Amino acid sequence: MTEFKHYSTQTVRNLIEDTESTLDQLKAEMQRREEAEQEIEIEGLEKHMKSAEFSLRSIREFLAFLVEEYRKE
Amino acid sequence: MEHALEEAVSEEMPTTGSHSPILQWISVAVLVYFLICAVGLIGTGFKTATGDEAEEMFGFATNPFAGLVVGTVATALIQSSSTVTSIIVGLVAGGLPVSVAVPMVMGANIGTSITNTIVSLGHVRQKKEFARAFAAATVHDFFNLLSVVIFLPLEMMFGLLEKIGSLLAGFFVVEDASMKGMNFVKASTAPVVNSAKHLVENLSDGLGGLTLIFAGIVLIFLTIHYVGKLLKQLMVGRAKDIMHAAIGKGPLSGIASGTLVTVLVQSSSTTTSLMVPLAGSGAFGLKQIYPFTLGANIGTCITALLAATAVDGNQAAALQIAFIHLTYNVLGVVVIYGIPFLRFLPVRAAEWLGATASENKLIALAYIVGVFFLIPGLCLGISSIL
Repeated sequence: MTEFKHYSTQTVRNLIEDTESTLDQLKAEMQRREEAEQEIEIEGLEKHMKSAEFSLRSIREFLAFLVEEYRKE
Repeated sequence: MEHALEEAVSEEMPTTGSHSPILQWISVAVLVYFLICAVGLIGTGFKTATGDEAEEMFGFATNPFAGLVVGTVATALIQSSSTVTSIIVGLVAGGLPVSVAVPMVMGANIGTSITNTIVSLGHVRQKKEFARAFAAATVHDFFNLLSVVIFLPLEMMFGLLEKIGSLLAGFFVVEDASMKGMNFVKASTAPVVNSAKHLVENLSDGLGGLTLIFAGIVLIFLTIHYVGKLLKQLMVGRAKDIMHAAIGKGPLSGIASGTLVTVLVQSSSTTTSLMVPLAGSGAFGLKQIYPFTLGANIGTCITALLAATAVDGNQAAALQIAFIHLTYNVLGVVVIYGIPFLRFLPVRAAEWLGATASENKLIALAYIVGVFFLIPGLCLGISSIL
């Protein structure tokens, strides 16, 4: 951190610009990755539709899990 | 092994029974026709059973909290707000006062969100996934609860929704009796409704009316169930396209997509439940899921509106309650999402609950039983005493 003191103002300005540009690129890359992940999830919509249906099995499994946890404790 | 085989078969045959899409679309049209007939049956049955005493019959629900609870519990048990609101439309056509029906419609919104909350329970074995899934499910609950907190007092004090609903219905109802024949939907459903009326002619008014109401409720339940199943198969590709198009486009696009997908699959529970695995996987954040669930509230209003076009009896009131449902949901989104202070309250509450419930799963159970059954039951008990 202290080494920046010795940099010229122009160098610091250039460094800030470079950093901001890199940050923007990194943010864009992160967004691209997030969106790509979302696209993949949406491609599996048929599977999600099946798992998103109301089923008493979810409740049964949940209650079984609660009992398991309770016994462990 | 058996399970794997079932999965393989269902993957090979994505459209049940491999019926052609044309046949499936014809089935959808026939089912929608019967849905409209069913609402007509309820209206006629209610009118026959109660005569001019519909108001007295629902005297217990004139307390708006009681109406709210009836709507919530009925929807939570039936698992479909479209079914409950369509039944309410039929009852209003048969003489149930609109003012009594308004809180019921609000309650239907709350009750419908139990579906995705139960779906989220399936993620219980993975702690982080469960926290995300439970939060994605309950954000819809918190939004609907906040909406009731804002609009129920406004409705009680000023009749805000009733006035807007009446105004909107006024644009679509033809007052002149001579124009009645222009209502083709109503004319087309008349043979079924009249035949059903003819069948119960020999019974007393009360029993005949109740038979028609029961038949209508069963028919609505079955038609909405099967229409939903067929539309899910037919529309999954379209829903995918809509959701792909919405990615990275911001909240308004998310709301519009949620609305469209719900209209296509005819079920807000399906849309909001779909968000649960999407959020659970971690691919979608809660703030990205949130607008879709708001759109689902708006899209689900189409069923009751459709049902209201062909009721027998007081069509103006039936249309009014259908428009009240729409207005309530649109205003809810505009007010809660439009006001920055309110916008992320449901998100924060859901995040907190998701994190807390993932630590102590009993809280998730207590939340479901409490919000959807215990608190409504207590309110109903207290309001009947007062």
